[in-house]
Amino acid sequence: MISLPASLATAHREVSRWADDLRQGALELDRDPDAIHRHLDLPAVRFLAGHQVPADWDRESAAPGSGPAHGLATLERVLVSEELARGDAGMMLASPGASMCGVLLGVLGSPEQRAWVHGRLAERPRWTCFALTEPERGSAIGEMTSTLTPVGDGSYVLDGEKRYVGNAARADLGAVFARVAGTERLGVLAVLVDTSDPGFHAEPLPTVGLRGAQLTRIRLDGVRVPAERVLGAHLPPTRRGMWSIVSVFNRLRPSVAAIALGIARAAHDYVGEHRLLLRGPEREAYEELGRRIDAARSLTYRAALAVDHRPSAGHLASAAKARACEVAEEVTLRALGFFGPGARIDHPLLDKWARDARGVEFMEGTRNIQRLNLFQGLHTGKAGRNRPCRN
Amino acid sequence: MTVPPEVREHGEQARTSARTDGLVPALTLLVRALSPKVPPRGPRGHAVLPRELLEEFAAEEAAAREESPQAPGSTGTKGVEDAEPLPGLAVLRPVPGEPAEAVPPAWGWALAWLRLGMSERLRDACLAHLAARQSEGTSLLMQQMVKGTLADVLLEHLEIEGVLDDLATGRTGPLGPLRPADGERHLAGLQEQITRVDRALLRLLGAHGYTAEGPGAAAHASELLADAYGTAGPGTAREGA
Repeated sequence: MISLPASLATAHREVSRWADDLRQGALELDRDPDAIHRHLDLPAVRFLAGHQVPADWDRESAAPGSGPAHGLATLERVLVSEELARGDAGMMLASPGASMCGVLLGVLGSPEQRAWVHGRLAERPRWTCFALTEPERGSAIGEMTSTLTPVGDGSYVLDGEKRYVGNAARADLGAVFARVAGTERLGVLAVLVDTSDPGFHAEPLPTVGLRGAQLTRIRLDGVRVPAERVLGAHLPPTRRGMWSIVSVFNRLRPSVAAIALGIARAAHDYVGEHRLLLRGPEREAYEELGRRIDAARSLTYRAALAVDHRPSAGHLASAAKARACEVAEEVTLRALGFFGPGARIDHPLLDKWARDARGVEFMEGTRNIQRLNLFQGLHTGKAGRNRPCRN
Repeated sequence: MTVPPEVREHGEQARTSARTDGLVPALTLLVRALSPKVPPRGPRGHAVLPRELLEEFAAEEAAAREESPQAPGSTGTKGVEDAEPLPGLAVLRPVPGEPAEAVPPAWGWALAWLRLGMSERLRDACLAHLAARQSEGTSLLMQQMVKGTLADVLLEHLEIEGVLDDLATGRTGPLGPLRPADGERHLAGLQEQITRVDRALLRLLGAHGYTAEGPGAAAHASELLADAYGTAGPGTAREGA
């Protein structure tokens, strides 16, 4: 049975209350991604920016970017992401803060690197970005062509292109993945960049939904990367390559699942609030969708706990990510059906959520990537062992 | 629904036994643990149980009748079907006019664990069968569509495991279900889900999964269990076969 630390339960309640404010800016942000600048004082946005914390927000230490004292960092992110995305996923993803960079720093960052990033984030609301995906090559590490060319003193020059990177056009700091020139397929490093440095160019890409996330294309033309911005250099070699990248993805996937679940819950709740007299088959369909959401939530929480206990245990994370995205698309599409023809026009939030649900599908790997991970786990015997859930 | 810890243990043992030993040994464990005196009858009086246990129950009934000839007989072991859906497995029809004893508490939940174990056993069989089959120089197992189907199956199994665990513990709070769990409806949904997963696996086996000696027979017996002990919905006939 999964039990929740009391401090996390308290923080979760407070974040849930903050989430409701996000809904108010949802449609405005959908029309204009820059509208986030008008909502920087909302508690949820301030929290994501790292400028406000809920009650009982116990950290391991006072060091910048320190993890929770209860040790369940992934579960905490999942609970927070689900609630805030229920408020509005676009507003949540548009918010300033460490976001995915924070997770990466938690795995690969040295104390000095964490202090540098979190110190700058503490000055004022600042955005970060996480640049992995490349045009025509997706997020496959082995196919990556962005290049870090050593210049002899431990520093590098960064060249290449990145695509579909959230918030990059408004970010002050970013993490960029690239291959060290002349290395094998898996010779990939993550580095921190200051987006004001010469050679960093970012341009927003208009999208169908989740417009707040403001996906971006990035061009890297000879961006200088000092030695102290190379992530993982302080770690043993076995801990800084693929192991760390896989570990970061395992930590992030349950959070993406949680965003999908937040979107699904928003649409499901909307039906319950606006169709008060559901009867017969409609009631049955509504309840069945609720059960689907609950089953995916349970899977997501177990995935988060599995990763918190063992960062390499990513099969549940893949399962949760795939299932939650499927449920989000199903629930948001079927929610429209409860309101008949013209629902997308008469209920713009429902239309928005149906569009937003598509946006989580490709984050941290599409459903087919998750399925390949699951198969690999099954084939190698790492997943699907007969082990009852005892967390 | 909250399932007592000892029953949860029996359910999980039945899952493990089903996966490693098969349906009849797993069902034997479960019946001995949860319904040690009489065959467990479903809501309309049907039963599916190991023939070995049926014979034990029948012997006990005969001994009881010898001791107290005037005592009212029970539905017990009446209504045995001739056909065996699986070697060693017996099916009992309802006895007209004689109400069946209530199924043991949490029987449906434990049965779902057993069926999950059977579904995992079928998945293991699929992996082995497909790995041994070759097409154009590669194993069938490594075909993308096959991989995708097996991944989907694993995903369903992982989800079912979680929901069964949640149902048993009656979890509440932030990590609990958003709405009160309707145990019977949940279980009915899970049984359907297990059947759908089994069917997906059987499709991977082609005709091999359709022969009486192949893994399809056990999958059919598993469906039979879900049918006999399913929820009697509104409008379902309650009496007679």
